[in-house]
Amino acid sequence: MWRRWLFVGLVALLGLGLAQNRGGTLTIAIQTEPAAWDPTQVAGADISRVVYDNVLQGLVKRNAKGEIVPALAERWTVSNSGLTYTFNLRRGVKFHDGSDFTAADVVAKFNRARNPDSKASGHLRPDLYKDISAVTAPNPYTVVFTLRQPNNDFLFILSRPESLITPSGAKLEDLRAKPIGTGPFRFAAWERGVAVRLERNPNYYIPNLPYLDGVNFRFLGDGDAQLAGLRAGDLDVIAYSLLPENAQVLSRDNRFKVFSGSGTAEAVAGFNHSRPPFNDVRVRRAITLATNKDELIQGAMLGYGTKIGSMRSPGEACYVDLSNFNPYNPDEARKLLAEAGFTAQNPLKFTYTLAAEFPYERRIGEAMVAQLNKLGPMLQVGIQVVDFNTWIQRVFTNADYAMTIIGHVEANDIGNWANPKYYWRYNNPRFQQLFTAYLRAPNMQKACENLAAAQRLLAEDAAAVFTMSLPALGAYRANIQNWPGSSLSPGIAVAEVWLQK
Amino acid sequence: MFAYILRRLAFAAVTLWLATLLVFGALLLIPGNPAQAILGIDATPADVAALEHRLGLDKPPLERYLNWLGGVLRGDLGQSIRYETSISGLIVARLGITLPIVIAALLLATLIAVPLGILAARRVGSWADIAVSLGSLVGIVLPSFWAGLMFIYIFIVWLKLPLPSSFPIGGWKDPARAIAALVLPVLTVGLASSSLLVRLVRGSVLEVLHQDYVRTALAKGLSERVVLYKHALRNAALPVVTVLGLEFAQLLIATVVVETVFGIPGLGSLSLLAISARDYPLVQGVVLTIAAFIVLLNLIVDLLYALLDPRVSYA
Repeated sequence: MWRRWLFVGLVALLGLGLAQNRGGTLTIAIQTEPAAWDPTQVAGADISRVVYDNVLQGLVKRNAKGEIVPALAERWTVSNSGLTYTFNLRRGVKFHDGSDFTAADVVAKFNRARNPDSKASGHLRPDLYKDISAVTAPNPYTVVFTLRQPNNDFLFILSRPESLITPSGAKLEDLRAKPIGTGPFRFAAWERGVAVRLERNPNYYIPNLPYLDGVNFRFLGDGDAQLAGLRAGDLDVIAYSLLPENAQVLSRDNRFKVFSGSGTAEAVAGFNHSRPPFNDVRVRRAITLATNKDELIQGAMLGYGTKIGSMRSPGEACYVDLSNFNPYNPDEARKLLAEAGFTAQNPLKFTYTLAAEFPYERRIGEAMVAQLNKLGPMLQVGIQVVDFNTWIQRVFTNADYAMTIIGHVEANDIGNWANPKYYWRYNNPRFQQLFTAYLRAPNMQKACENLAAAQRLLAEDAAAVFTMSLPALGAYRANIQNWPGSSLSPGIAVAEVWLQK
Repeated sequence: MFAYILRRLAFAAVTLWLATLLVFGALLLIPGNPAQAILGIDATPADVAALEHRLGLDKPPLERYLNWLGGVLRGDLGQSIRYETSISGLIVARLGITLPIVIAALLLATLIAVPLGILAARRVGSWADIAVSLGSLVGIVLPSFWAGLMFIYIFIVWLKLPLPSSFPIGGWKDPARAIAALVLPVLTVGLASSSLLVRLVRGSVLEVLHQDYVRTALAKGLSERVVLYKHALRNAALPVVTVLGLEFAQLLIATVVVETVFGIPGLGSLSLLAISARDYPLVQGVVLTIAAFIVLLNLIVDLLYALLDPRVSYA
């Protein structure tokens, strides 16, 4: 008998020791203020950072490790043909406006999403959903998707921010300023120019979650202002954009914890393949070989960042390590440039376009130009810094550039190389074939084999200089527990974060 | 006087209209597109076209301009493309933060610059004069973002004064915290403009002190103190008032740097956002507001001039 009581007592003590404190509000700095908060209508990494799995949820989600796990669907089955996905929904879930979440909301959402006329549907990226031939609800808690052809990215697509689910009765224009979902926090207020406030959802379907009473996401673009805010106590967390030098300052201060999580953002120094001389693989390889990636990581990023060699980050599925595929070799680079017809008298001259607003990419790009110019008189690179809006129009929309660098934040975005109209204007049928083979492969092993070959092809082709996987570099107050840290999920999900009192 | 004011107002209206035309033209020339900026780089061209249609950006520029101008004449600045809310509401909220900064900073600048400038002018070449000149030189050459960061470091990190480093969430709902948040920005802006002002006060007091009427008054046996405060300062104030008026208008925009460092959602940061987002109606609204301030302040300065100097006529 006493043994049993001892056991109960021990369990109680253990429980006390592990009990997470409830309450408190965190203020988290993010870099930019999006134009709206509904990721089905507006794209932008900072929208997802705030709402993904905090306010809005989908059938499945990506957790902090980047794995696809259940969210509003408790479980799912895939038919042997790979053409039918059946989702069993969680019961008793309510949206923040009090309405019930049922299969009808899911059907309405995906019928809207796959409407090819985005003018009428107000939904971004209908191209993502074009493999869906039907969405049906045999009962209020089951949803069946029928696909036209197998798609190994289908679950990934359902985990994308565009696939988050809002009540079918809600007005789209209302959701832009005030998203309504099923998440652990509800959207309380948007103070334009300052912050977004989320408050605890008392009806959240997982008991005891979230631990915090509320979260503020504060828009602070300036790295030094972020540092000052953390030290002054106005901020509790710098979520991802801490400057490397400020990380070093904060890591010497035991009131704060600095973290450098793995992310899915590749800093890609892209060539314009539609323009000579970048349609010549020798020139692209020469520039790749003249880039010292280790030095870029040490010099420009003070060691934060992971060397890569293709369009994939180490935390992602089917990753192949190609970081030493085209190692730094200036002599070989000179030789290749000479073969391509460039000499000191007839140098390769071009302009490298940088977007002013991105601190990491800008400093990496500037350092890279310095490295390229060290190659000597046969290669002369100039810098042009433009604001992001100009960058989007000139580089991204019109492909009116020679070389540029930008962080591709989205996970699993290697498929952009299969799109010849994408701003790199990379048109390689072999790559397109490999990517389709990946999507349609009968199992994940075969799929990964094709994706590995696709990664290798990009490296062999020197399709771009894949400089590094950018770190999710941030810092938080030392009493914050369970901070997600890495950036493998599109959201900064804080449901399980709590404060040590 | 009445006719003079009317004429000035008509002139002001034409100035404002020219400003709108200039801004609208400039925005058409710079590259970039608000719909693409809102949607981000993952959007397809069809997505961009859909949003442009919803925002009315697919209409010809002249039509957009005339629609906007028509709204302004009815007292409606329209909707911000980015925020989808009333532009006048945004501007009023932002002015509610920037105006207090600018007014307090100019007050601070005057309180510092006038006594120091007079002191330096009365004791030309003394150690006090040299100290004031050197101090003002330092104030002029220091970039205000650096000074702002130094103030944060000195007062908040080092001295641990309970001042927020940025404008609080919730804003003026917590007035004590909001005011505390404005202390360092006011100090930053105020010290920078006092550096300019002190040189002006010193120069203009010096100039007046060398005038014949001052010499005459001194020769008549009046004390230097009486001559200075009864006669000279009134005349020395003329250029200072002009500069203060212009400085006020300039500070409305110059606060953009300080607003960035201190995370303050004021008019400066709004104008920055409006331009970088290519939010055409918002840029036009902000420019119109600032132009209106400049015109109004010029009018006030002119009237003050007339009060201070009876020789100015209204003809």
